[in-house]
Formats: sequence, C-alpha cells, structure tokens
Amino acid sequence: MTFGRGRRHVGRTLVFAVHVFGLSVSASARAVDESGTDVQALLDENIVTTASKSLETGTAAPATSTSITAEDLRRYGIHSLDEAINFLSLGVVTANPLRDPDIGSRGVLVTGDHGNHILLLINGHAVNEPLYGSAQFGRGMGVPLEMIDHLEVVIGPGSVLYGSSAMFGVINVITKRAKDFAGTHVIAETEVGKSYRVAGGAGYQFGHETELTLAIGYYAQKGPSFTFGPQNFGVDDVSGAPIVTTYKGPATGIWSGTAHNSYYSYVPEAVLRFSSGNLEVNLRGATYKRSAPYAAYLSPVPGDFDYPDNYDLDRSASADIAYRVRPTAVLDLAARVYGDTFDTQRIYTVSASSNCIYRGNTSPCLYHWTGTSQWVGTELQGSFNWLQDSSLVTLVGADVRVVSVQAKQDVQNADTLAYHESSTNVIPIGNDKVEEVLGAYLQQTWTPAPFIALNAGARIDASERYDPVISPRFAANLAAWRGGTIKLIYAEAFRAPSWNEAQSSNVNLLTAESLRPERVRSVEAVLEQKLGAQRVLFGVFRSWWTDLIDLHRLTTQEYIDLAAQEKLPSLLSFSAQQYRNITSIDNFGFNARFEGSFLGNKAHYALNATSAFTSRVDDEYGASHPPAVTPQMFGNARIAYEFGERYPVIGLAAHFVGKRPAARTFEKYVPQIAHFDPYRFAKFPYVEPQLELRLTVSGPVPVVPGLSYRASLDYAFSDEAPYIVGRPVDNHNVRTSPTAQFAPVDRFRGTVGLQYDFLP
Amino acid sequence: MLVGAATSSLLARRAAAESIAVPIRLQAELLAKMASYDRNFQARTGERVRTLLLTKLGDPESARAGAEMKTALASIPSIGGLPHDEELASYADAAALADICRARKVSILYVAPGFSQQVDTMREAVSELSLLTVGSLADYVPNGIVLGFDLVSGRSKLLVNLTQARRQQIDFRAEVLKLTRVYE
Repeated sequence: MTFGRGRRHVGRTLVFAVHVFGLSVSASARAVDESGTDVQALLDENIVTTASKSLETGTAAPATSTSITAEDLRRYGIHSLDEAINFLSLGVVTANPLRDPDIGSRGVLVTGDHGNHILLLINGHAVNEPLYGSAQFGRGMGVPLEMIDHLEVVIGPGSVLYGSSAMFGVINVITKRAKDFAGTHVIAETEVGKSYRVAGGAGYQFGHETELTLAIGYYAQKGPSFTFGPQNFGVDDVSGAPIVTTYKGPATGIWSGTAHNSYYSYVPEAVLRFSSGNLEVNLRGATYKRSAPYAAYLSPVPGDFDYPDNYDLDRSASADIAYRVRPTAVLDLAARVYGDTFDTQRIYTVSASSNCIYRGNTSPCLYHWTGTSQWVGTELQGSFNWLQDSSLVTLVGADVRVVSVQAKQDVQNADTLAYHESSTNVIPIGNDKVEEVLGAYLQQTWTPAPFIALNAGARIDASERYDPVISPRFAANLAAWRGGTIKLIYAEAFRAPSWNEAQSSNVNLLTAESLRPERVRSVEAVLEQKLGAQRVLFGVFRSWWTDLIDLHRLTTQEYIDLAAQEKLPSLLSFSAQQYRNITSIDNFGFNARFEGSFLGNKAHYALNATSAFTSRVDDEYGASHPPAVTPQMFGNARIAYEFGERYPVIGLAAHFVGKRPAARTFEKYVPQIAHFDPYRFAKFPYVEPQLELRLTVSGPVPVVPGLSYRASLDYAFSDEAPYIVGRPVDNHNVRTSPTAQFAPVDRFRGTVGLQYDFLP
Repeated sequence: MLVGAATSSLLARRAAAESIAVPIRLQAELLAKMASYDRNFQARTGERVRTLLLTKLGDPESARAGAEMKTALASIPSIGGLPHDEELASYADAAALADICRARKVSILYVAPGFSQQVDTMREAVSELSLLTVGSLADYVPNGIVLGFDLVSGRSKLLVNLTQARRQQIDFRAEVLKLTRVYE
C-alpha cells in the first residue's frame, strides 16, 4: 500500500490555504480603514498564561494556541470540552467511540490512550492521573460549563514546563473569577429525550481582596438506542456450542440487536475557587459513570449485549493551594501544594463459557477491575525579572510529587458475587508502592529589541521507573513588519509509561520489561498577521515520535525463548501481548486560522484548518501507514451575529474531518501463523468524511429579568464513527465478515436550556 | 532557598488583588490607540506627548509596572500621531501630583498598581486638569480613573469612566466608546 495520495492532499490543501491567506490579507487591508478597528484588533488579542507560565498575548507566546472564551462556548451551543475542541479550536480534534473521546493533534491520535498524550490542566493543576495517565475530555471532565472563563489550547510539545503527557499539547481550563460570575446562577438544560443537566453556581467578593466562586452540576444521559448488525463470534472453545452473547441468553454465537439500556452516563461535579490576597485555593471533585453499547477495542469474547450493569466508574478529587508574592520588583515567588485522589472501576459481565472457566459454575462471570491512585506534591517557582521591564526574565521551578498506585482484577460469580479466585493483575508488583517524581525547569526569556523575543528552556524529569528525561524548547518571535509576526519553535516532550502499561499482566498480557518514556520532537514555523479586526495564522510543522508504547503480539520464537529462560508464565494464551516501545511516527503539515469580526463588531467568525501527512511504523503492520482514527485533514468554521444586548445571538458552527482509517484497521490477529492472511479485514476500513453543523440561538428571555435561554440543533451528515463494532473474525480466527461495521453516530441532537441569574 | 524566601514572604503586604491582569505591553498599545480617539488630545498636548508614570514608593508591583510601561511606551513610535516622552514619578500626595502634572504639562497620567486607597483623592486633585488618566487596574476606573483595562474570558476589555472623562476634557469618539465598558 502507498500513501502518495496523502502527500497530494496535503499539497492541494496547502495551495487552498495559501489562497485563503491571500484573500484574507486583501480583505483585511480594506478593513483597516474602519474607525475603531485598530482598537478592536488589540482587544481581540488572546491573553494567555499556559505556554510560558506568564501573562502574555497569544501572539507573543512561544507556541501556537487557541483561546476559547466563555462567550464562544455559549454562542455556539458547546456542552463539553471535546465539543469545544472540535468546533472552536485549532490543530486539535477528538473522536467519539460512545465512551470516552479520543483526542489527537496535528494529524496524530493514539486510539484508546485514555487521553494520556495531552496534558489537561484545571486552573494550572495537572489532572492526568498516573495509573493510565488518563484525563477526561468529554462530559466527564468535571467542571460545570458555566464556571469556565476560558480554555487555552496549546498545541505542540509542552513538557518544557509541565513534564509528562504534554506530547500533543496542553489544555488549560480556567474557571471564572467572582467579578465575572457575580451572584447566584441556576441552570437547567436538556438534550431532548436523551439527557439533562442541572447546575448551580455563585460568585461573591468579600471586601477588596477576597473572593469565592463555586459551581456544582449533575449530568445524566441515557440513549439514544442504537441497532447493531450481526457480529459472528463463532463457537465457544469450552462449551463447544455457539458463544452466548446475551446475559444468560441462548447460545447463538451472534452479537446483535438494538441496545436500549447500555448507553448512558452520569456525572456529578463540583468546583470551588477561593482567593484572598496572595492565596488561592482550588478544589474539585467529580464522578463519571458510563456505559457504551459496544466495545471499541477488541475483546476475544464480547461482554453481554445490552447489559446495563456493564460500566466504568471514575471518581476524582483534587485540592491545590497556591501562594504568590512579589517581595522585590525583580523577584516573584510562588509556592503550591496539591493533592489528588483517583479511583476507577470497570464492571463487565460475560456469559460466554470460554471467558468463565471455573469448574462447576454455569453462571455468568463478573469481571471487576479496580484501580486507585493518589498523589501529593509541591511546586516552588521563582521568576527573576532582572531589568524590571520583563525584557530579561528567568523562571526557575521544581515540582516534587509522591505517587501511590494500586490496581487489581477480580472474577466473581455474577449471581452470588462469590470470588472465583484470588485477585490477579495486581499493581504494583512487589512491595514498592510509592513512586517519587522530581521535575525541575528553567526558562529564560529575552527581548533584546521590541521586534524580537527569544525563549529558551528545559525541564528534567526523574523517577525510579525510568531514566531522567530532558525536554527542551527554543522559540524566537520576530515582529517582522506592521501587524506581522513570525515564530520559530523547536520543542520536545515525553510521556512516562503509565503504571498500567508497565506492570499489568493477565492470561493475554505478559508484564512489560524496561519500558522507556515516549518521546516527540517538533519544529514549527508560524506566521501571524493582523490587519484591522481580522487575523490570519499560518504555520507549518514537522514532528518525530519515537518509542511509543504499544501492544506487541508475541511470536512463536518469543514463546520458545521465554520457555527456555523459564520466564513463561504458567497461564499465558497463545495470542498473548506485551507492552513495548515499538511504534514511531513521522509527520508534517500545516495549521491555518482566519478569524475576526465585522459589521461593527456584531458579527464574529473564525475558520480553523489543519492538514497533515502522518506515517506510522509499528510492530503489527511493519511498513509505514496512516494512524487509525486520525483525520489527516480537519477543521471548523463558525459565524455568529449579535442583534443587540436585549436580543438573541445566533451562532452557526461546523466541524469537518476527512476520510480516515477506523481503529484496529492495521492490526494483525495471528502474526505467528504464516499461512493465514494476518489482517482482520479483507479491505482496510476507511470512514467517509464527516461534517457536523450546529445552529444555536441564545439570549435573554424578554420580560423576565435575569432569565436567559440557549437552544441548539446539531446535525451530523455521516452515520459512521471510525471505530469497529464486534469483530470480522470469529473466535477461531476464521474471517466471518468481509467488511467492518462502523460504530454509530448520534446524528441529530436538539438541546434547550434556561439560566436564571440572581444578581447581587 | 526558595522555601525560605516563600515563607518569609508570608509577611509581605502586597496583595494579589492588585496584580496586573492585562499585559503591560498590550496596555501601552491600547493607551496609544485610545489617545488618538480623543478629540481634544492634540489641542491639550501640543507638539509632544508627556506621560507621567506614577508608582508607589516601596511597592515592588508598582515599581515593576511603571518600569515596564516606560519601556513599552518607548517602543511605540507615536501616541496619537505625536512624538512622546515618558517619566517615572513616585506618589507623594494628591496636591503634589496635580502640581507636577501642571508644571510638566503632562497629558497622560498612568497609575501603576498600589493606589486603590488613593484613587478617590487623586481623582479630585486632577479633575480640573485636561488630562487622560489611565489605570493599570480595572478597579481604578469606577473610582475615578478615566481609562482602565480588565481581563474578561481571556481577552482584554477597555473601561471608561465617562463622567470623569468629561471633567478632564477627554472626548472619546463614539467609534471606540462602543468597544468599552462605560461607567457614569
């Protein structure tokens, strides 16, 4: 297979982007004469803090970033972080397997990674937990939307100041200050027939220096129902009869039907932000229970079809206390202590005998994975503003963290809940239950002249689980001409192996040995041009990813070698896998953005586009191939018009993703048997492009002061998501279906909501 | 060392509530643009714009903001189309401030952080002068500083005290007033 078509598509879209750039500059040049547009242009500058841990404009920041305002979230009917990313951000995209969204950036996405290649911050507090490295980017994020002041989406490697997981970039969710959330607020919203959400919040100032904002919310979703075509799982190895695919159901071997009960989620969430003088306290807590009607990633035997008690449950809470002070005009000091707790459960009932091999038992088995992690840490930071005018600033910091992780798997009789055996897959292995992680960073910024700014820094991260990792970044920002800025950026980032990857084991998984951190290097050149109230960004990038951790299927020779070394576990299947550093990715492409306002600042628009050519080399497929699920062309467009303070705002947003291979497309299923066609699919399954449109109307309810509404309609043109339902081969590796069935898409959605503000 | 410094700083008197929310460089650019939308600016200023950057003695936040604003304004070719000079000054009292503004023909007064308690008296002292007062903090504007900057949802916002603007003979054009949050 060749991928020349991909290179041509990058070329065509590059030509289109350059054309749009030219048109926009021309249009902007005309707009510059309008009175007030020069002031408007400055007011439209994003103010960011994430890229360099200092207050600066987006143009001056040493990275490409998008700032998404609370106003944008409301105007365009956004309900969750993944929707904000898809409809409003540049360079980042999510895909929805009906469970937790996968997230990727600039043409790279790792399916089923629990979001561990992008760092999620809430008010600067890192949320990714150590067991899986996971963070939630959908409804499970745990912050009521009305509490969000703005989102900063920084793309490209960001470990220089933040350490592990910032490979795709960093997303910082900034919550509102009391002045912007003044009073008490009550919100009720429903996606008609599918979900509802209620939330309340308040923001109060006490005197000149003290303030409190808090919000709580509850989201519940059930449905819609999806119908799945027949998936033939074949004959059960144990019973000799067709596999049972429904709870205590008949032995048909066929997994199919309409799932009415197994697609739901429930999210209670609460956040609090308190500040008094130099002290700031952030607290957050959320639980996220969800069930998906199918397994997005391959299981040898399916969970019982439409069984409502198969679910995942995450619970998380965090506390972050920060104190900042400026003892002299040169020095800023900040100290922060933080603590997090996270636990997860996965409950999974299976009636197939081959997954429930316990003598004398005929009841279904209940698989119960549990994992917990807690971590506490402190970060100390000093900023030296040597000339007191921010032209020469040294930032130095250290972050020390202690991590504790535990996990296990139990198998129970689903009827009596009696345990079938001792816990397996126990993490941590051995007695070393605590990990100490040290991160230290240094960043130097220098503005030798008003038209040039330089930023160089590096962070070192060390832990007993891996060799020290250094993540440097160099950036130059050149104000090349009036309104024009050129940025040149080189950055590296890493991801530490999660505890799950490093230590988990079961009958199908051999414990990993000596996993190294994943690495990425990236170079980027970005041109930003402001002309009047319009802004254009065009950037090209290239990145190299090495040592990515993936599952390697053991070969026959490896089984023989393990046996010879007496390392072969007593219970290990003949299709067992092992986490290894086996995958590399090479990619290049461009990001383009065109945004601004017109009609006296009443109309706002933006167009974001990303195109990439990505080549992945992995253990399974061997030769280079595009990464699964990841669109190589994606973007969004939006326009909104404000009719006036007492009238509605109408917003139309569109999200586009190009054709892409489905998850598991390039996996083999029996690589150790030479005469079998090793791929699961007779033809590689590609999902057609998707276009999603959302129309939103919002504004104050006439006659009732304090009451406002928001209503949106959402339509997706394609009914296919890039995930495979079931399996195209049966339990005996016989191909039963020539084509793949793609996961469904909830194509039409309507949402209405009301908010009442009790103003002080 | 950092731990010790952080601990000792617990006694520091500066409050984060008076921290800058909008980058100084952007404040300087907005100030320069806004000046050109004041109909009386050229008449008041003459041939050269003189900006006084007022800082509070012994206040590190204030000192740094003043120094940074001086550098930022110096890099801007013109303010309201005119050449310009900037000068740092420490606040003594309101009467002395008014005298300095008169004596040095100051046309823009930039008030660095640290003056939340003095803004009222400052307002009374300069009310009779034809002078654009600019606050580094949003809190200053409702209390009598003509122009200020706030951060709302990751974007800067201009604040204008229109009553005080009229008193100080500042006449912003409607094109920019509609972009601001107006206090009357």
